[in-house]
Amino acid sequence: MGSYTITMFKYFALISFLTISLNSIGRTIVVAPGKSSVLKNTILQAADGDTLLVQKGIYKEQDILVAKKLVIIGQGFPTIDGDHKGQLIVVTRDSVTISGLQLQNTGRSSMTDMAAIRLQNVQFARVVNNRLVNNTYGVYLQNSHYCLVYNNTISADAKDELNSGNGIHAWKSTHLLIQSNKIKGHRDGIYFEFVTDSRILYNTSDKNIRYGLHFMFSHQDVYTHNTFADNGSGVAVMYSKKVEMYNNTFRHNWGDASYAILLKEITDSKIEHNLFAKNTVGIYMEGTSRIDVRHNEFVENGWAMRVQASCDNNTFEKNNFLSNSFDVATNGTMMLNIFNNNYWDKYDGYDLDKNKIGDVPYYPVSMYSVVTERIPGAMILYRSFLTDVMDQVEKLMPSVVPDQLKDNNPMMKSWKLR
Amino acid sequence: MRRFISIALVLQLILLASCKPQFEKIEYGKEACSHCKMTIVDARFAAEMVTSKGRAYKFDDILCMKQYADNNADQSNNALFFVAVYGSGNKDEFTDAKRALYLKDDFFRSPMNGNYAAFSTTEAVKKLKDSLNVQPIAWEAIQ
Repeated sequence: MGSYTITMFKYFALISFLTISLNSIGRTIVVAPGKSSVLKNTILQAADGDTLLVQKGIYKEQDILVAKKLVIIGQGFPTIDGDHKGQLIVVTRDSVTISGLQLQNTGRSSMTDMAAIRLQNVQFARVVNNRLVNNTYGVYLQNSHYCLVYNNTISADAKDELNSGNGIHAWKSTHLLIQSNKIKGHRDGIYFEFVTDSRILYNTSDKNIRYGLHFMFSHQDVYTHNTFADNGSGVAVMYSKKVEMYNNTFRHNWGDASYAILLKEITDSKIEHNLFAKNTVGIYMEGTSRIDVRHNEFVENGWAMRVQASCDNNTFEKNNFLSNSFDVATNGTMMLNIFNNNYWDKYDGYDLDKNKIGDVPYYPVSMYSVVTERIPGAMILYRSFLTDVMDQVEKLMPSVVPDQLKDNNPMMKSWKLR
Repeated sequence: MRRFISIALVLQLILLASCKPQFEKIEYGKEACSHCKMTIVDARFAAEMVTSKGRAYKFDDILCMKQYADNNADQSNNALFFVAVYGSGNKDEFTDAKRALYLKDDFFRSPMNGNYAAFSTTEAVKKLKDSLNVQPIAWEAIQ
């Protein structure tokens, strides 16, 4: 994994080097605010390889078309204000850099997706160190490849949820690196549709209306070291293959239909070293196969995991389950998944041979989670005296709980994961 | 006896009223699609099925409703179907799905890639039909 980051880094370093060497033959043009459409006019006169130094101030322009290989650098965060009309910057040429700008107030439309920066059919574009405020879509990558979106702050007003768009929206693209961005208050923080071979690293995505991160039909992607908190429903990874999720933090995704991760129709993926804290459901899975869930910590969730009967050949190994109301819930009786070597704080077995592994299996589905799965309304009696009695009786004489769903080697001590 | 009958009648009326299947408003951003489990946010493509018993199932894409209805014949039998009117600008404006006209085009980019948009009148459909160069289809043809 680490080597991959390094190769990606080298790759972008190479691009930067090439861009810089190109610049040395281009001119540097200083743009100051004042005249109307000064940005558009300057771009008209510029040539491939030129650098635009945009001075501090307010530029009221929309639909600025960048069809030349330009480096656009803002000094002291000059503001491009769309006045709630149109898009701001549309890039249609390879190797364009946009850096140090504040972009705000795109238009809203139900017909076109209005973006602050739209990268359209390009390669090697770089969007770095910008502030994007109150736009429908932030950065919109459309059929673009080998692009970098790094260290941008993207925020919008979450109240108008009907017309809002996504913070970083990628569609039919490959080889993207989305790193160290802070995204807040959009529909989905980061949205991937038909995007392959891309990396999402060290981003913070919170308080978005729907999902912090949303994958649809996107294969061979990796996301690591991101934080997703307080999003409407967490993170959704759907209809994808070979997605790797490492070292992410999923915190406080709370609500009736909320999950830290919603997995639907996913195969051959890995979920490792993540922290799931205070979510309604840690992982909800439906129609997933061959997923490894290892070394994760589930703390103080309503349900640590809800595994639907349609899931098979998944492995849950060496995870910590701490202070969750329910560890695992399922709607079926058959269980075609493997649970092994997890630490369950509710385990009350013994270890006579002192090998740090409990001598009797642990059944993570409690009787009451079976009941509430069938009759959600029964939750109102949770933690009542009656249900405690039922839980104890079930432990002595199992009859409701799916007996194949068990951890044969539960750990006596929790794993050190953090 | 008369009093008993009148109470029974009133009770019956209340029961009847509560059981009548009718359209239920969708709470965007809060409710999840019954088919694909995604949160419903895009009012342009939302859909709803109300079973003969009066239970409402809500969807984020017209194709989701169609697939759900086909897979769950016991629920969709005699159900009412509603689809959002595309381009109405009103998130609560829905129309009878079986009478609506549909355009399918990648241009729409609906949440689950069904890419169907529903229109209630032939005039409304005409504008987009010509610019997209596609022919309108009926509910039965959606798949």
